[in-house]
Amino acid sequence: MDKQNSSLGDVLKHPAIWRGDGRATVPACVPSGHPALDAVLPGGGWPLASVTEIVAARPGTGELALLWPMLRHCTGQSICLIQPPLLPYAPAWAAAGIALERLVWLRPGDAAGALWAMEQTLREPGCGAVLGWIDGVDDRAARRLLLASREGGACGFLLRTRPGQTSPLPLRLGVDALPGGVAVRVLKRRGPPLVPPIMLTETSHALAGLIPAQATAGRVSGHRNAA
Amino acid sequence: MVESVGRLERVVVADALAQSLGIRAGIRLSAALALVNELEVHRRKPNAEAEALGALACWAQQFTPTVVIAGPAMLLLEVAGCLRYFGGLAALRSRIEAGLLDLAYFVQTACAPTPLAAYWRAECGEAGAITELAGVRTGIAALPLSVLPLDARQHDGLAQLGVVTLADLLALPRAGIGRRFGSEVGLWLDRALGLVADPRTAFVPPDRFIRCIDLDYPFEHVDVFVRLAERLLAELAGYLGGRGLGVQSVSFRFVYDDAPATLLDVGFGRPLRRLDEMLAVLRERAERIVLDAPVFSVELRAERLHALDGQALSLLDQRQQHGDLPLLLARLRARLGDDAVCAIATVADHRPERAWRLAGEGEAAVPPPTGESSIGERPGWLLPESQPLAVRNQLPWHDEPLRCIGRAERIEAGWWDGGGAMRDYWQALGPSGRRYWIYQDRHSQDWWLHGIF
Repeated sequence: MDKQNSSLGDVLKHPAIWRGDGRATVPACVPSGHPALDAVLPGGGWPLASVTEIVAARPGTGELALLWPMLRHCTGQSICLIQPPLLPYAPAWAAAGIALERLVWLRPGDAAGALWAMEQTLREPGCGAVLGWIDGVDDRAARRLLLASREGGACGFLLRTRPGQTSPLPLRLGVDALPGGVAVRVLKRRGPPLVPPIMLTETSHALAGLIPAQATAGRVSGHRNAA
Repeated sequence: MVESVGRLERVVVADALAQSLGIRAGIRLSAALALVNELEVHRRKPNAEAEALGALACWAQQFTPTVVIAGPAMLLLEVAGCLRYFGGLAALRSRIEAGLLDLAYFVQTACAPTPLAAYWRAECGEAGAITELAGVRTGIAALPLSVLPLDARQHDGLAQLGVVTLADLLALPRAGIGRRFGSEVGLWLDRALGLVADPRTAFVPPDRFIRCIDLDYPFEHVDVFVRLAERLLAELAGYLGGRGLGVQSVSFRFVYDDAPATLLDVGFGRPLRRLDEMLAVLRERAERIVLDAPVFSVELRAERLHALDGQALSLLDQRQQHGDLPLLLARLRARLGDDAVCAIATVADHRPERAWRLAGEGEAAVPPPTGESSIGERPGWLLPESQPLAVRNQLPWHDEPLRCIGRAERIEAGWWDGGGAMRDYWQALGPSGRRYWIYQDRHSQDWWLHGIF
């Protein structure tokens, strides 16, 4: 029996043997700021020197709530936003605790320029986080981004509106806004697959309570009548 | 190659093919054309040669502060004081030779303790270095008499005496030579031997760097420009290195045949002097260059120079560890355009669309407006223009019915500058769970979408 175990151990030591149960190689990570999410991500947070794909169907489906805590802790290094879909609103980003003087907003005209800019910024060790809103990134381009991020060591995020069929990126998440908060689905990760989505609950507006807009509208129309 | 001497034009250099047809240096152009009527004649440009030599003097100042323009094609560098810094004479010489080769110049170097001895040996192609003053006499002995700048009568007289080399001249009694040929013959020799002082006026570099390359044939391709720019920037890098300066932006001027000249500005983000850093930015900028017409001449101007010495430059290549963000931003700006790289800042204004602005990169942070408690939560995304919302079933509609939550935030401002706003802002929640920032205009009662959380 002992002999059997030892021979099994020898076999498992072979570099060509990959074990699917564990997260054998743990990449360097930064905490995402969401303990529930950290618990399921390999390494316990966003991987450094890598690119993570986040699928958000439309702007405002919770991607900011997901990423802001990480950006807040990105002190001393620059944060690059590449082709965000809408204007990053300075008062809100400042209120979220992000140093605006470290924020670089890049507006390349086309997808090729955006890809190039993302590759260059990922390659730069002075950048802590690179967020690129680029659609239509093929495998080849994604692999290029991944290689660039290895060089710079930044935390890269590729935000897409539609999930691709396959992608060489090691971590892929989908975010959806739900009435109770933000649901994060892990589409792909190193290690065992994860099926149930994780809820990141937001409490700031949940406490505010609902006021039916009908009442408001009614009040306004009454006001108008009075006028 | 042809040069003008008075009203005549003489051949200076002929290539191998021309030589095989009987054309020799020194014959007249008319004689050469009589031999071969299909000659490709290039005229010598003395001004351009002098300018190039001046540029090389600037470039050479990266090796030593004392550079002398000694002749039409001769530079003297006083290197005794900087040998240790460059790792010895051999290392310094190979560095200078390799640098000149990169600039596409052919060079003959020589090294001697006195400037005149070095000049003569370089002129005669004697590459061996003389390091001791005692070795000068033997070092110049074998040189022909033609190195002495004497007039034809003196040369003829010496030749009739059977004096062919400097050794012959040195062997003759000095007093007799002085009486027959004038005292300057002995003076030249004494200067070369280091017996008499030989003061030289050191080259003073100009305050600005302006260098022009004129082309015989115009170019239309950007690749050609990049190659020319590499050469110009290499000279600029040498000039900056010699003077301890850096440059933050340069401009290229293109001269066309029949169109007004155009300027191309290239900014580097911070003062720098390394050639590879400048080229990194230029190569990105080259992607966007459009040449309207064939270019006949390219001029590089670096007018605003910044002192770099005294600042800690990297001993090792610092980019490996800390990165070089200003250079990255300069490259991004060069490729994508100046408007494509920006930062954002807050502005103390209650109107949401005016509460932010585009900021220059690296601008000092403005503290967020005080009195946070009176200001409600702001959305992370703002629409470039607020978007009108339809109303269905008495609810504002944006692909889904929006239900207002919380309390309204009334913003009434701007009546004093014509951009007045009277709005009630709400956070609104759709059934999908997305949160919007909408407002109702209090004049028109219309609903507008202004941001997304």
